[in-house]
Amino acid sequence: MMFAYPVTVFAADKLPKDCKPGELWVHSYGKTQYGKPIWVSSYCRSLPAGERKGFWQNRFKDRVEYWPNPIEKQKRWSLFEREEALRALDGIPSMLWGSKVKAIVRFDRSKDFPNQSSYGGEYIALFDAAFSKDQNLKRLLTHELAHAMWNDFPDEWKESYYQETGWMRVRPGPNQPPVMMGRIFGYIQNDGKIRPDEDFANNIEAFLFEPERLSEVTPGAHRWIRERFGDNFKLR
Amino acid sequence: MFRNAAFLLLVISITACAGRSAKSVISPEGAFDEIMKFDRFAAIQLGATKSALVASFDSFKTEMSNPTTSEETYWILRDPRTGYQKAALTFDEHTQSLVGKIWIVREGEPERAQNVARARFTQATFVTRDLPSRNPHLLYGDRILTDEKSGITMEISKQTDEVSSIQWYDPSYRSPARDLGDQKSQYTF
Repeated sequence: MMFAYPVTVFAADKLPKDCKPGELWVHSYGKTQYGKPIWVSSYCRSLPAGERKGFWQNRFKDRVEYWPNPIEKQKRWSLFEREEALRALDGIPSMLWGSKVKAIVRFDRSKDFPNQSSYGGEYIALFDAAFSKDQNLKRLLTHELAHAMWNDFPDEWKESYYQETGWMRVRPGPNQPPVMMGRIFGYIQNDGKIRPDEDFANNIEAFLFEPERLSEVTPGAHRWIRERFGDNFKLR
Repeated sequence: MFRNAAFLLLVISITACAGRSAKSVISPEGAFDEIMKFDRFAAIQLGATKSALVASFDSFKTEMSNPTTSEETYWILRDPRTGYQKAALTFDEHTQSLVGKIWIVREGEPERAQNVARARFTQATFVTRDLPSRNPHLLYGDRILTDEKSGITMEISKQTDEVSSIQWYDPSYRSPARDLGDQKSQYTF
């Protein structure tokens, strides 16, 4: 093992007993960094709310029974990836931690590569692309959790969002699916034009990561999120 | 004496007129409550002209056109108290006639339950369809129940299995613009 992973000392090895109350002990693991295998020593990670780990830990699944896209292959979580995802989740406001998310699952490559993540109703999929170094995992997970949150909203919240952000329901002519018609402009990301739930997830993401831009581009959404979630709705 | 009597008569007539006109003006809220009942809305015939319907909906409708297509305009019908949409009518721009309508079923309304909603349309044979998601990143699409013959469609919430909207369209209707091959399926813009 030692031959496979040259020792890189980030810190002296810690034992669980070395960790303070509320800290999470992370045992040592090997990973690849910039193409080279390295070994990360065990350490204590700050975990201000002790229950956080417990909340998510059982939701990391190596396999789920059903996935709608059979060409996407499920894979096992590496310790490093799991730890990175946990760290990202730690930073996301707990208001977004939807209890209806039953599993976070690893997949190799999205059929819509370079898509990094998907929400499939109860499941969040993280593809290989989510762990490339130019990706912000916290941001990706925020977006997917916002989808889960939208599904839990009561009608009144959805209607209020539609009204504030200019979504309307119309029945087009024959041979057309039911349609939500969106506002003409003012989307923080283009794919928000497709559906209000995508628009919502984009806006939640922007509220946490680029609030000033959201306030400029979609002031109605910024106002709506601020009013509903309050001042404590921010990244940790 | 005569001048006083004439003045009194004038005051009485003005008051009477004002009272009568106040009674005849229906507030947008009143019009909304009176017209926006499920049975009444369901009874609106497809093919009705805009001009025939305008008096009923004028006080609480917003007219919209879709910039991606010049074929249709929509009347968005909102509750004047909340501003929330309750229904919409779709008109063919060429014929100025009603080609579709949608009724949004709110939480607490009886039609929210599938069996109640189905019972409203005893002649219909509904087929369940799961529409594919148009968003590669979001893997769930919508579920609808459609009677292809009558064009009645119910949108079903996958989370709760309840009816979220009831829609009508005329399956035999052909828009002149569509016949020219100008088919646009992307209504969002």
